Amino acid sequence: MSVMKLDQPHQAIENLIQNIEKVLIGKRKVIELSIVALLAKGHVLLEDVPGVGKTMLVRSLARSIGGDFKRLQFTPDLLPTDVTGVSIYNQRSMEFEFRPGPIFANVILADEINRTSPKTQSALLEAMEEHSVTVDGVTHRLSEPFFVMATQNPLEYEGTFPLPEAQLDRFLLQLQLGYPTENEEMQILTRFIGQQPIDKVEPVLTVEEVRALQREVDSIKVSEGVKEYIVRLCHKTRSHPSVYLGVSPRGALALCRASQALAFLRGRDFVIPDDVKELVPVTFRHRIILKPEARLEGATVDRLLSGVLQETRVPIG
Amino acid sequence: MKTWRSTKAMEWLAALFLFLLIREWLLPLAALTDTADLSPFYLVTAGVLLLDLLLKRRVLAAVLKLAGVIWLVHASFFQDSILHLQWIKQTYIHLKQDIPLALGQNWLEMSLVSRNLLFDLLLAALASLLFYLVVEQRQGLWFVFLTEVYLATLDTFVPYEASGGIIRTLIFGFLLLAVNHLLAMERLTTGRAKSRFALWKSLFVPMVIILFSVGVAYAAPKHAPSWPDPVAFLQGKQSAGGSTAVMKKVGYDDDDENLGGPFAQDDRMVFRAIVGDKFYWRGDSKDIYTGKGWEKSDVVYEAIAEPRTHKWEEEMFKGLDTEKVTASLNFSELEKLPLIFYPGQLRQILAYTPSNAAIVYDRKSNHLETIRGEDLLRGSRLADPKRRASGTQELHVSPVNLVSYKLVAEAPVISVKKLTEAGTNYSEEIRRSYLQLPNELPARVKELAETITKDAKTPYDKVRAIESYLRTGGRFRYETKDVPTPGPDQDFVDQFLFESHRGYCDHFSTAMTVMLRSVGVPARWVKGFAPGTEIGETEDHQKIIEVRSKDAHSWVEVYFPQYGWIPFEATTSFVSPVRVNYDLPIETQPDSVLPVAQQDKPKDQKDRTRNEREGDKESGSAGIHLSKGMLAAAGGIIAAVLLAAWISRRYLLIWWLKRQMSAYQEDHFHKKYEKLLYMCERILFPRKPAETLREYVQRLSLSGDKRQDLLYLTKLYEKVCYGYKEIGAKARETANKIVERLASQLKP
Repeated sequence: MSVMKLDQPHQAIENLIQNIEKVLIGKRKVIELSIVALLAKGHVLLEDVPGVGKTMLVRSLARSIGGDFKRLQFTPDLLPTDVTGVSIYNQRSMEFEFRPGPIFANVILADEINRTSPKTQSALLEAMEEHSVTVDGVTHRLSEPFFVMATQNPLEYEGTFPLPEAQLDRFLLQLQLGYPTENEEMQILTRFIGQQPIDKVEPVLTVEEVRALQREVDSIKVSEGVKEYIVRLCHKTRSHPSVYLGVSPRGALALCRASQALAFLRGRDFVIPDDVKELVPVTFRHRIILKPEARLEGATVDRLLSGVLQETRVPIG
Repeated sequence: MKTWRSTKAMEWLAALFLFLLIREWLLPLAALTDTADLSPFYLVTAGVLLLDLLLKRRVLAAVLKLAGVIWLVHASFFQDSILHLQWIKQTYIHLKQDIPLALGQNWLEMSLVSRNLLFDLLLAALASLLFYLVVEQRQGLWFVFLTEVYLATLDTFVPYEASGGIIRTLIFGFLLLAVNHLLAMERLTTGRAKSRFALWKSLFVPMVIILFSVGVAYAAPKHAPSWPDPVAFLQGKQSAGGSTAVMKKVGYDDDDENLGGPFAQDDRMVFRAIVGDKFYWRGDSKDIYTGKGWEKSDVVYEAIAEPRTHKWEEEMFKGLDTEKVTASLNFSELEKLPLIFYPGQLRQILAYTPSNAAIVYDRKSNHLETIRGEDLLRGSRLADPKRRASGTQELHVSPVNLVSYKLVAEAPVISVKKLTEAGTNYSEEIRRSYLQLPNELPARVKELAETITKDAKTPYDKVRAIESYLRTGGRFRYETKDVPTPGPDQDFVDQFLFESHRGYCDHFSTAMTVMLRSVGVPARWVKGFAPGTEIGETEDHQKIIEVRSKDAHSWVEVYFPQYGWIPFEATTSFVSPVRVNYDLPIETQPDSVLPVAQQDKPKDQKDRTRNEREGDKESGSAGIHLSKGMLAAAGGIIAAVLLAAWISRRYLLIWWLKRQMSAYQEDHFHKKYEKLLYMCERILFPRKPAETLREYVQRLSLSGDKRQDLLYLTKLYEKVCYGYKEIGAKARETANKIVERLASQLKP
């Protein structure tokens, strides 16, 4: 009996993923989630050690969607205007002229975001939230799509300004690339020896197409049952005994939106609980603060979240 | 192919052992009940098992099983062709009559046809269920265990020697388990090379072990029982208690000198008759009441020289309208009697077998006996073949049991007018013989009779008054078991009327006869059989009647000058077959109870239901009695069914869910899917609440194809459930097919 094709990944997005996979070996999951964030008009926080391919991921993504890419290396002395841009007095035209900063690009890699001062951090984060920057009283719209991928070193590193909770909340997902397996590393060596892999990446989408995809994500159905499921999950994190700060309503919204994008990526026009479940760790990980005593006892957010998932009833029917 | 064949052979072997186990359940029936021949039941069981082995399609098998049972019942009980649909009608009539009886647990009252049909059907259903559970699902242990419990219970509590059965069950049961186990192992090792030889060889080992252990157990010395056999023990207790005498069996018996006491129902067939109209089967009458029972005064038998041409001109009754009745009787092999029963008054004996028998006739009691022809020739023609000696009858000639006979008789139609006007002009002989009462008869019997009849002007009115007193008003209860035997100084009638108030036909008819005599109405006590149970009709509208031991009955004949001996029914809950012509003006009619059975209002609920059921049908002196064996067998079967249902509750649930599933409309795919999911949860393991459908499906231990199918269905279901989407007709059709296929493949 021929089984009807169901649940086939969206073709354009599949092409996009495969395009990126050419240069980023063995990281399909992270690529998918990054695209989820892009489609959900959100941003990604990458927390990982250097050299595992964060830049490669962002650059290949930018190239693949035909957008422009900027990289911001955050240092302690970086100023907000270095991010947003500055107004300079043009003597010829006798007026102030806005020089857009690096943030005016489709895809931005904000490297080591926790090395810079909170002032500069917040400039970036406000831009991420509003999709616009205001310099000298003038508001400038940022280009669409606007996708920030920020990296931060693991918090124990010295000389860092940890991002405040309110800021962290603005990232849709927190991802980890992790080291490749031995096999994958062998492939990396074989494939990329003596050449710049990023050159191999050709655009497979246009910026306009990405915008269209983003609009389609808006129309993905979320059933009442799934909504209830999301709300239940959020409430569970708030009432959990070892949690100091639980997931905010913004987090619930983020989960819902990310689920829509994931469902779309998987070729469905409705969200199923599996989508939600898959996204809970990456959506909630950075939005929860454990109580110090719980942390002393060895609790981790990931473990807590998997516990929450195991306790929350999945809606059927 | 080879593997398939050897698996199939093992299944046949399992079915054979199952058959042998079921046989152990049936065997006690022959010993404990009056089941003569178990072969039909074996046939049913074997047929069902064979059909289940041969046919994959259960519906077809079920139809064939039903057809087989119906054929068997037809072959056992009906002579005409199965295509001649008359027998269906008759069976329907039986069932209609018998199902209320079955509901009232009156098993013995039920006709043989219905009893056999229902038992065969039950047996077929049970055998099918057992085949499914034991052979197909390989759950044999519980049945083996239950069989042992059943046999042990029977062995302990009823007089049935089951030790052989217990040993056989042990052997067959364990062999069955061994075969089942091998089959299960066979299924597990799919794909590996298997040879037929290996399978048989593996059966050899358990066989040796079982035979060895049974042999050792059989040969080894055993302890004596730690407590006495409860049956003997209980019975000993009972007889030591003393108030209840040994239980008699109902039936026709010549000795009526000590009446009373309980009796056990006996369902053996005495004769089958083809008759124009139903009437009492009159056997004998007795005239001397001793205070304990009935005896006959001197009997003078006259030999009937040419029985086939002899016309009985002398009359029991005359001057009344009569109905001519032709009756042919065929006696059961074991129940033949050396006397002739006839409905009403005899006119002519047309034929009888064995034809060399001679017939002698006692004019006084209107009683016919059959003796050997040679005895008649050799003996004197005056023929007093029986002489009374020390209270027992000593036979001088050998009685001959008749196999069958055909006769013509007349049944009276009572004219109320004639009998009322009959007067009291009794002859001296009648007065002497039929007003006799023992001197020791307590005075209160006569006083009671006088009180009852004080308003009655004529003998007929007195008869009706006493009859009504006994039969209606709920003063006396029909009872066969809890019936006391009169003490040594107690009068039988006195005890019944004033103390026990319960009894069966002997009590009622004797009381009526004695009371009538005490108020000066000549009466005698008559015995024979109640009209019996109608089981069908012949083509010329004659009734086919079965008369069984339980139909043995006694009633009253009252003498009316000019008219003769008229039968009356004394026993409550029995309906008189005598027709009455109410030809008096209505206001002068005596308070009659006949033949309106509904006037009977016994106190006892049991009796009331009897009346309602029996309506104008007559019945033998009956009650409810089940032998212990039957009770144990029924209890065992019910327990087995319940246990089987409990053990197979998952299968029953699956069956139920499948039924529900197929009851859904085609467009209710999601409901079907939900049922399928529920089925998976019941059969395999439940879904955790926090598990999504896909995670659950992945976790299920299903083979790749099934999992893929289920996953596909799950995705479709998600579409309906989370995406609020309709599924296209074609996809739905496919999906429904997959659902049903998966449902049929799911097995615990």
